[in-house]
Amino acid sequence: MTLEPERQSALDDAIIESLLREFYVADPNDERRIASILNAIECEATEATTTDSSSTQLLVNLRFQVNRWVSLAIAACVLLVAGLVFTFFSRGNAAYAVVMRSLEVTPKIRAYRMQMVHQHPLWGNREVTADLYLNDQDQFAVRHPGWSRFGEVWIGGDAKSRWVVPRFGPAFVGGEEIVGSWLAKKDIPSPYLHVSTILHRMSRVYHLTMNDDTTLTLADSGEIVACQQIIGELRGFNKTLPSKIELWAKLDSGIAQRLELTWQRAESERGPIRWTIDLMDSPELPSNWFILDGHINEGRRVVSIKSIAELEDVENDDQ
Amino acid sequence: MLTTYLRAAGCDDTLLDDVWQETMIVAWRKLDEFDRSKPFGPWLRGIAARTLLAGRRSANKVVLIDDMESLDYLNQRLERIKQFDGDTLDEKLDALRDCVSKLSITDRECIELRFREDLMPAAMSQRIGIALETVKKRLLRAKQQLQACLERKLQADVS
Repeated sequence: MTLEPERQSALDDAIIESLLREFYVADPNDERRIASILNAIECEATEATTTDSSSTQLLVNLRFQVNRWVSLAIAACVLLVAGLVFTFFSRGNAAYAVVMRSLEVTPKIRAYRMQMVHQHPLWGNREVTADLYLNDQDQFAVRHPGWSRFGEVWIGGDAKSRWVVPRFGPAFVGGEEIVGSWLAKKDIPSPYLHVSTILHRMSRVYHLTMNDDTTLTLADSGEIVACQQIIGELRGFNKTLPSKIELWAKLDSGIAQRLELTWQRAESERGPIRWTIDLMDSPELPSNWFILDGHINEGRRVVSIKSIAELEDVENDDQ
Repeated sequence: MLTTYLRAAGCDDTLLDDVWQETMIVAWRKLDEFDRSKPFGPWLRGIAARTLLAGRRSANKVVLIDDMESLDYLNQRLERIKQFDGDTLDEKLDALRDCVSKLSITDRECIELRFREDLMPAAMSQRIGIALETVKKRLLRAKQQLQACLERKLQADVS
């Protein structure tokens, strides 16, 4: 940098003037600019999904379409990271912004307490508390107590594979579908394990509204903190998705502190009806916490499962 | 920070709108190229600088600061401002708020008339009833004091 001192001085003066303008008069055009850029990006993404309908492009376009809203979410993050303040958004956009900010500021390693209430036509409502751990590598580990005595199970994995450590019997590793099938048989839910997935979905298929700022008593410390509260109501009906998602994001940091998911379900149906997910203090975890090795003793049998039939064979053999 | 940057570079409202939108679209398209180990702000303002210079060349638009070296300097200075506490620019401006409160009453009056009420020095001179040259001197002095105050706060934060 070889600027003359006079030039530097003029530039410093320009910065002070610009900061003073920001300081005294909030730019009334910020909201318009944001709405305009989101529209422009959405149009661009839509064109990309509709201009080429040839069969060879179909898969690529389909993938793009799936990613489109994620792209929009990232675009919104760009806006937020750029230093825009929520108060400039309309309330609908502000709700969206809070969800996006929660995605952006999620800590590297997080521990959540999940209180899950499930309905069963014969046994009524059952409630368990599970522990969920996530890291910034998209890995997760869950301790689920199971629905019966000795039913505790550890489940973990990443974007490609899953591992499961039941209380008894062999541990196994396999693809998401296989493990999901095993979990479904045990009535242990897995589709919403990833809080980011909930937040992404919330931004995508839910109508978001923003309540007045509120307070929340933290689940771990009992501290009362100021929060922004967002309500997401499902557009249309889908019985596998929660009909309502509520998010409490800390006002000062934007971190998602609590998520509450509610399902609409007929009394004759079984499945989740309410989950409350609370962020707990960032824990010190062993380095192997997010892989199978962190949850099995030496010598424990581990089976790699390639198909659901193979999984059933392993279970039958074990019995 | 992006609007602050573009205003400091001399953009009027119309040009700021154009460059802001173009910058965001380019950033969105190039997000995959962004190195997440580096701070985001300078990257975004770098795109804005190139957009600004390209636009100036293609449309003959008037920009007060029109060389990459100066734009880089502005970028670096604004990145330093980012060191102040706070998630939002408004929170970071608390430091400036504190500095303004330490100005003398007469200097603060000048700053408020100029930036809150958007009066030019001549209009300020009429409003306060003092000579135009005195208004200009007060404004200059006030801005220099604010700059020095912010610098001291930055140094204190670093140490």
